[in-house]
Amino acid sequence: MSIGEGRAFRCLLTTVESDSHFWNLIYLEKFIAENGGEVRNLGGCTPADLVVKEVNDFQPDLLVVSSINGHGYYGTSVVLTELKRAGISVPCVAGGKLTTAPSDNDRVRRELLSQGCTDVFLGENAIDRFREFLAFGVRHGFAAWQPSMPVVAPWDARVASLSVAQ
Amino acid sequence: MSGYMDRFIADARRRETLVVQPRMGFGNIATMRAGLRDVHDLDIPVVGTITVDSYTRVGDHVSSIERLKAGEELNGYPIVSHPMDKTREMLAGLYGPGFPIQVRHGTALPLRVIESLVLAGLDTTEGGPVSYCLPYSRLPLEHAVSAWAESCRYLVGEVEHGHIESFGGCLLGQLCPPSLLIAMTVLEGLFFAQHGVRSMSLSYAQGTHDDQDRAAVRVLRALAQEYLPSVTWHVVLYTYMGLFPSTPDGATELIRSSARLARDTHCERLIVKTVSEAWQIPSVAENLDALRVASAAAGGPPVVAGPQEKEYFDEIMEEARCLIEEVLNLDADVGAALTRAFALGLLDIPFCLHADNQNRTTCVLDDQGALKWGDIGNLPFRGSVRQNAAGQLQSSELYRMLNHVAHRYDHGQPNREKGDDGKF
Ligand code: B12
Repeated sequence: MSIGEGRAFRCLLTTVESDSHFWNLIYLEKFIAENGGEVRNLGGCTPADLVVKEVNDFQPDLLVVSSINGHGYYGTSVVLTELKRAGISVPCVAGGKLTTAPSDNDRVRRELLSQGCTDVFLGENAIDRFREFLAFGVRHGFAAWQPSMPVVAPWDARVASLSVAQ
Repeated sequence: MSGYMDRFIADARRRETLVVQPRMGFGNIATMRAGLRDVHDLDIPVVGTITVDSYTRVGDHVSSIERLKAGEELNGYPIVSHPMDKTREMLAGLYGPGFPIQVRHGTALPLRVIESLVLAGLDTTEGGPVSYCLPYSRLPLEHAVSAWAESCRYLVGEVEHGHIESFGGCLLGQLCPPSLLIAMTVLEGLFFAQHGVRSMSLSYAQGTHDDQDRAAVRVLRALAQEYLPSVTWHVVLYTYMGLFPSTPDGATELIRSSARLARDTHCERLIVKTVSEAWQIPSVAENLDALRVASAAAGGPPVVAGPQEKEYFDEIMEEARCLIEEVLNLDADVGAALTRAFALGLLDIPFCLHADNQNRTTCVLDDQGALKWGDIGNLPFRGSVRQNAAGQLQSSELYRMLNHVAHRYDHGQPNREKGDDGKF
């Protein structure tokens, strides 16, 4: 279905269990809907097993994890692990403020990509890049998306090559 | 006799100085102690804070320690999970009559946290059955109400001077008309009193418009006097709790304006944000700077009320009183009344996604930049309360409202709505 024919894709929107912020979810629900999504918004403090249950129930084309409280990196890993454990594969993106310091952003993005995220949107122009991602997904499907590789800071290069080697 | 917090506040009040307080919390014990020590060493009237991390807030006392061991930072201090003797050591030589310490924790089921703070030798905390449930948890409001009742009784049973600050004056931190915030904090105060708490603070979070804010705090003081005559209370103001300016100048000026608001309206205590608010967890140094800035800005004579303030006062008073009365009429038990009020939509927090909130109300900014009701849902207002139907909000319009204060301060126009002659 193309955008012109109504809702182009189904999107499950969630945060992580420890995160009670939901202005980000309210905003993203509207934003995703305006970009063609039929959104189910699970609200604050969502346990990972509820996310799994809702993925099974709603069968989304895209799972979006938004977290801003600083514990989202861990929380997103838990969601990815639970999905794997349940044998579910669904395109999943994360974004917001995933740790307590912006200097972690490159590392966190790299790690979540290696754990199975389709993409991770952090920092100043996250929303613009997300809009492009949604437009791509509507045309080609979210699973076909290739995230640009994050720039590796020189002091992190060793760690990155280690994790690639694994 | 009274506890450290009440005595400290009473002293500062006598000297007409504002007490400032950070919202600081670190996962690591040594970092938390260093932060408390530096705040303690400031030469301004200041109260210390232990802000609890958000694993603890949702009752997960395992992940906090595991994540610390994995080398990650937390967004607060896991007071339940760290060994109790370590927490006591952390406080030794700092906590005392000259440096009260409050635990701020955002838990809907607070008993474990309150037990821990009591075991650590503390007696002062924050919360409330509504304000620590609907913005902070998915648990049913009814559970939070009974857990908070039990925890209040536990606190006053265990320590002589248990003090609780209601978070009702903040709720979701932004886009909520002042009358609902005031009604909520007064109602939570009544709830605390019903469960034996004799010492409390009532809160208000700075909004979007100076005159409206000054009027709101005055309404809060008047209603607290009327409804809570037999407990010891003071008013705590929160520096703007919504989307914060991202530039250092904008953030600093907003912090200053909150200190002036506190001064003008005789708030006893101010919880201060930092220049890192829009970004991520602030450093100790940023907290210290912000506390100094706020304390200095609160100097000087209070500004007297202007004519517009009187109009806001009448409007907020009418709405807040109506909400309080309607809720109290539902049940003699304040907790039961609060639960029913939400079920009936007589209380309804704009934009709040919690399942026990009807989410039929909205809030808009008027052409003055003041907070007004959009839809009033089933709120019990009569006649004169105007609705400003918002229609279907687009994401960009929602963001414009959320970002309104940040935008003004980041562009050096804190008083834009007031015209060129506008002063504080
Ligand atoms: C309002 C607010 C609250 C309210 C929340 C009410 C509610 N239930 O929603 C209250 C007061 C209750 C609150 C509580 C807490 N908060 Co708070 N809060 C904020 C505040 C001021 C604004 C958040 C907001 O309204 N955002 C509005 C949305 C639209 O913007 P946004 O969240 O930034 O999202 C944008 C982008 O990040 C991006 N984005 C977000 N997610 C995603 C996902 C994808 C896929 C994409 C593409 C983009 C994207 O898109 C959005 C639009 O640009 C921020 C600071 C700030 N920004 O000014 C702190 C902040 C988020 N809070 C913070 C913290 C730590 C807490 C507490 C732990 C208490 C504390 N220590 O201060 C508790 C947390 C409780 C919990 N269990 O999680 C920290 C997080 C720190 C970090 N990440 O390092 C912040 C950053 C403040 C700070 N600097 O310390 N908070």
